[in-house]
Amino acid sequence: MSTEKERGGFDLGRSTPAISLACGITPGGLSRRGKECRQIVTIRLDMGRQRGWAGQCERPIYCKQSGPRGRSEEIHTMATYQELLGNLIDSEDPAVPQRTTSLAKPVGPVRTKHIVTNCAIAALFGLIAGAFFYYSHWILGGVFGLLTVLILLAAFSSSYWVAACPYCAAVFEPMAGLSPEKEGKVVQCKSCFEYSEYSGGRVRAHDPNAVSEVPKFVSPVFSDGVWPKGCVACGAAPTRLDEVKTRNVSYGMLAFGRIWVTSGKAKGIPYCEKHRGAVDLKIDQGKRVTLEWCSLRMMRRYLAVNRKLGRQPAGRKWI
Amino acid sequence: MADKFGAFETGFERPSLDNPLLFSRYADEIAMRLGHQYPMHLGYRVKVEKKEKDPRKREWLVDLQRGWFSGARVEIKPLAEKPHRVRVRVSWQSRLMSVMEKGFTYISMVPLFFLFIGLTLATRLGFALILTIVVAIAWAIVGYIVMFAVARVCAAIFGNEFSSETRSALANKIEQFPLPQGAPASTT
Repeated sequence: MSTEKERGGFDLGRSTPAISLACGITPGGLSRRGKECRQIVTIRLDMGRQRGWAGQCERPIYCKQSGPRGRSEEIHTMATYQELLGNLIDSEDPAVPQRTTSLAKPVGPVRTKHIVTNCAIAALFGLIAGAFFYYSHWILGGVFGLLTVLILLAAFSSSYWVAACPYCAAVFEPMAGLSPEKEGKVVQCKSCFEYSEYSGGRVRAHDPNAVSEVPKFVSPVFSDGVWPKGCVACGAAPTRLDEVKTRNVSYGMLAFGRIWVTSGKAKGIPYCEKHRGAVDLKIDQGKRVTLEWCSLRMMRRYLAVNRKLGRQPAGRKWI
Repeated sequence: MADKFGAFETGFERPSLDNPLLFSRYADEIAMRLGHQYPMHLGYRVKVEKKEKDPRKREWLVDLQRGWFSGARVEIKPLAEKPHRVRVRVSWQSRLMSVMEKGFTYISMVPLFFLFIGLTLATRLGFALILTIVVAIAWAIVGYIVMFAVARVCAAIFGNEFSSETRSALANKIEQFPLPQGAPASTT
């Protein structure tokens, strides 16, 4: 009996989708009825020999409307270049606030949340450590016990600093690394995804024209997301549309004899003649799908244009 | 001034999307100048290899070889924290070493494949993968040490023009080559 579990994929765009990525579980390997589907996104295969499975490690699964499992049926054709080009949205550079905020020690709900979160993690690690000690695995128990103590120390440490985001006034996490000694420290707001910098004793908006040779500015992937009309590196008029693929292997699952691959693809990425590879798609071990940009300016345009259209970040993809 | 490893740091003042292109031109410039200093009619061979596909793993290599047993490699590698700066290192390399590395890689795939199949039949696939990777890493380390030793012995027997002093002098010379100056930062 096959134990493989398939997950269908669906494109997050409505008409001519721009991004395909890991998506929700569809029972029986079927996609949601009526959704447009194109790209295999997530495959989890139980490779246990004892379970009698034999076959290829990874294979494309195309979504289908309905019907018996194993009989794939594509329900649409690929979006044309012109359709993708028509999806690009004109956008202006969003405003940069001049306000600055100061560092402060976390108090009230921020401190409470920090302590509760860390204590919960410490409790989990403590439980694992206890289990190892119970079964006389002293080294592993010691490692997890040490981690428990360190997390507890971090929970009640008074060395953390917080500040309000200059863009949205949300509070940066205590673990963001802000500190009076860290001049030039760049932090990203978890609420609005804007970048700020600690300099001259204040937290202020990061230089909106900042660029990097390697993609490092992180933005969420939006459901039904669209691209701004401009090269994602420099903002010049686009002359071609590229795509980027990513694949993530859960190495931890290898220890249990399983291969767990998550893959995603973003397409229709506008580029000028000069640039390429300025946007990267990432899936971290927490199954968060993000875009990484070389240009902060174009990342902010992407955020702005998708917010303007009311799009929501796709968020974490639970497998 | 190059350090004792025949390496030095250079680069641009600030990040720019044009910097990788300029570093690529810098590699070409080094190859061109080395080509003048070590001409082909005297038996030298200069080759440029550009690894630019993955922005996080960019690297430019300029190989300078004479015959099979002697040569040097100029590695231009961006710093992880500051990709607008690069570390330029002149290391020892030979054509024999390059050929052995490639040959070793391809030849090793056969026994590792059979090892993987055998382990898969004996255990679960995940464990087979882990064990194969561990064996492959150990195999690669041992293989590299043996190949390096063979290449250096051959160089010692047949003549090694690029000793550590020569490489340090070469690094100092390369350090004087100016970085190409391109268009201003591409953010408009």
